[in-house]
Amino acid sequence: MKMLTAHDLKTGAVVYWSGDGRWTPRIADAALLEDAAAAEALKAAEAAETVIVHPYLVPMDQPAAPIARERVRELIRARGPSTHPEFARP
Amino acid sequence: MYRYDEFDAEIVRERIEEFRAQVERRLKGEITEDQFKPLRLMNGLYLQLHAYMLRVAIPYGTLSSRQLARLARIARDFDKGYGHFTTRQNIQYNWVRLVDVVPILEALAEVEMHAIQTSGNCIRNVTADHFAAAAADEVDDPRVWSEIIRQWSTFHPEFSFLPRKFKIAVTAAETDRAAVQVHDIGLHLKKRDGKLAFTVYVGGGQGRTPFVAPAIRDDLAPEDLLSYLEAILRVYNRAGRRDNLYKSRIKILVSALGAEEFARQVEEEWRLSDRARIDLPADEEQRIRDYFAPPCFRTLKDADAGFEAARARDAAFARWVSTNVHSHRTPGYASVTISLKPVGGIPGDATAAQMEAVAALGKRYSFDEIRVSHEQNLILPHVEKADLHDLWQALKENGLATPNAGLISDIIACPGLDYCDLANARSIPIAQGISNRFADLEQQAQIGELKIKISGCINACGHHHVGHIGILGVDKHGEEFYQILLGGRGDERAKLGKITGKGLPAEAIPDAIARIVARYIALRTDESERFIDAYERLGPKPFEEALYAEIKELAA
Ligand code: HEM
Ligand code: SF4
Repeated sequence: MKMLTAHDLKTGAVVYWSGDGRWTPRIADAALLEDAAAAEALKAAEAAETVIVHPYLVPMDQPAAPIARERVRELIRARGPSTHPEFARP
Repeated sequence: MYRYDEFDAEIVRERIEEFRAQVERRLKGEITEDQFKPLRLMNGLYLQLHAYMLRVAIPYGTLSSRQLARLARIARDFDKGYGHFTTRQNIQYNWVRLVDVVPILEALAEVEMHAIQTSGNCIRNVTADHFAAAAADEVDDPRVWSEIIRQWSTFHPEFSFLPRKFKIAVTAAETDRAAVQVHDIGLHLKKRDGKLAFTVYVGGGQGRTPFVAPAIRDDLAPEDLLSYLEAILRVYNRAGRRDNLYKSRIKILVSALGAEEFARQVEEEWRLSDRARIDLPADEEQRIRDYFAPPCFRTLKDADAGFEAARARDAAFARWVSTNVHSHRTPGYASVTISLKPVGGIPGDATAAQMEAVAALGKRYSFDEIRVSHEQNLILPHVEKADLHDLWQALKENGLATPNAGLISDIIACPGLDYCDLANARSIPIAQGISNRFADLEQQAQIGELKIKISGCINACGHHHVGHIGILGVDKHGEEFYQILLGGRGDERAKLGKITGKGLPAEAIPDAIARIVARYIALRTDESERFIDAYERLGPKPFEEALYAEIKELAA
C-alpha cells in the first residue's frame, strides 16, 4: 500500500492526495492506495504541474503510518520540525 | 565595508527581473519543474521537507546593521519569524512561499544583498575569518582578498559550470578560524621574510570522502592570486570527473593525481597563462581595500577601569567575558561573540526580534558592523571595553548572553532531518540533548574548550569530520542512529576525526558524550590541557573505552 504526497506549488506546503480529487494538508486524510492505483495517481500528479511540485509515493501499511526508510522522515514532514512543536500540524 | 558597485547592482536587478518572469512562467505551466529547478537553485531557492528554503549569501560573513535589520524583517514578513545562520556564513529561511521569493529578493537588493552563488556548480560565497580586521594575530584583512575573489568569480563565464560546487575560504591570522584546510581551496595569508604570501591549500573537503587539503604553494605573492586560482580551476575544469557526482570534487582529482603532480600541472598552466590580463592591478586592489578601511577607533588605554570594576563586581558578567569576549588589536577594544546557542536551544537560529536587537547593538557599540561566524554565532567585532557591561545587559534581555563560546554547548549542527530533504537523521535534537545534559555553565567552563559538530547525513554540512567530537546521523532500517567520531579539528592543524565503533540511538548520545568528557577530566594533566590536546597525547583508546563502557556492561 502507498500514499501519494507532494508540495503545493505556490506555497511549498506539504500536501497529500485524498483520493477524491483533492490535495489535503493532513496525512490522516491521505488515501491508502493499492500499487496500481498509486502508480496511476502519481502519473496524474506529475501532469498537474501548475498545482503541485515533487510528487512521490510513500510505502504504508495503514493510514498515516509510513513504513521502512521513509518512516521518520515522513512523520516529520507530516507534523513539522520536531524542534518547533509550536508549528506542529494536527 | 564592501558595497556592491554599480555593476553588481545592475546584475542583481536583472537577475531578479529574470527570475520574476521565470516564476510567472512556472506558475502558468509554461515551463516544467525540471526546467525551473536549475533556475530557482541559481537564485538560492531549494525545496526542503516542509517548504521552499531560501539561502541568502552573506559575503565573508560581514553585515551592516541595516542589512541585519532587513534580514529580520524578511524573517517576520515572509517566514515564521526566524532564520538559521549556517556554517557557510549564510542565512537560510525555512518557510518561504514561491510567490514571495521575488519580493524577498527585492527587499534584499535594497540593502545590497542577494542569493546568488549559494547553490549550483559555481564558486560559492567565499568565507573568511569572522574576526577579520579585529584579531591581534592577523597580518591583513582577509575580506579584501575574499572580495577580490568574489568579484573575479561572480559570473566568470569559464567557471559557472564547474564539475561540482566550489568553496574557497580565506584567513590571514595565525589561528585559522575559517577551517580553510577543509575547503576546495583554502588560502592562508602569512608573513614570510617580511612579505605577505599565501599558503595555498587545494583539495580539502568534507562530505562522503573527507580530505584535509595538502598545501601546493607556501609562497604565493598576493598580486599573483587571481591568475594562480584561475590556473587551479583550469586544471580542475579540464580533468575533473563530470561523469560521477561523488568523484567530481577537486579533492578527488588532487588525491588521484597526488598533490605534487597536481601542483606541477597548476604551475605549468600558470606559467603559460596570460597573467597580466587576469591579475588585479594595484589600483584596483586599493579600490577594494578602501571598502574595508578600518573604522575610526578612538585612542584609548587598553585597560578600562569601569570594565575591570564591573568584572570584579559581577561574577556572571566575568564569566561571559572569559568565554565570549576576545582580544582586539586596537587598545581599549574587544570583539564579542553573541552566542546563538542558548542552553537547550537550536544552534544558529535567531528570531526576528533577536536579529533586530543585534542590529541595533551593532550600530550602537560596534561601528555598524556585525559578523556571522562559521560556528553559527554572531560577532560584534569592534566594541569598546568600556561598553561591554552595558552591551552584556542588553544581550541578556534578548536571550543572547549565554557564556558558552567555544564550550561544549557551542555546538554546530546542520538542519538535519527536521528540515533537510537529504537527511538520514535529526541533528538539532541531538545538539539540544547534549546542551541540556551540560546545562550547568559552571561545569561547562570547567570542561573548557570542546567543539562538537553534528551532521544529519554524510554530506557533512555540520562539519562532523572536524569536530573534537563529531556526530553523524545514519539511517538503520528507518531508525535514526548516530556514529561518533573523535579527535577531528578544523583549525590550522586540521585533522579528520576517527570513526569509532557502532552507532548509538539518539537517547544514548548525551550520556555517551558525558562518559567521554568524564574520562577526559580524569586523564587531563591540568585545566590547561584541552580535550583535543589530551586526545592527541593519549590517542583514541581511553576515550573509545569510555564511550562504549556502559554498552559493554549492558551486553555482558
Ligand atoms: C538544508 C539544505 C541543505 C542541503 C540540501 C545541503 C546539501 C549539501 C550537499 C549535497 C553537500 C555535499 C556536496 C558534495 O559533497 O559535493 C553539502 C555540503 C556542505 N554543506 Fe550543505 N546542505 C544544506 C544545508 C546546509 C547548511 C544549513 C549548512 C551550514 C550549516 C551547510 C553547509 C555545508 C558545508 C560546509 C558543506 C561542505 C562539505 C564539503 O566540503 O563537502 N549546508 N550540502
Ligand atoms: S549534512 Fe546532510 S542532513 Fe545535514 S544539512 Fe547537509 S545534506 Fe542535510
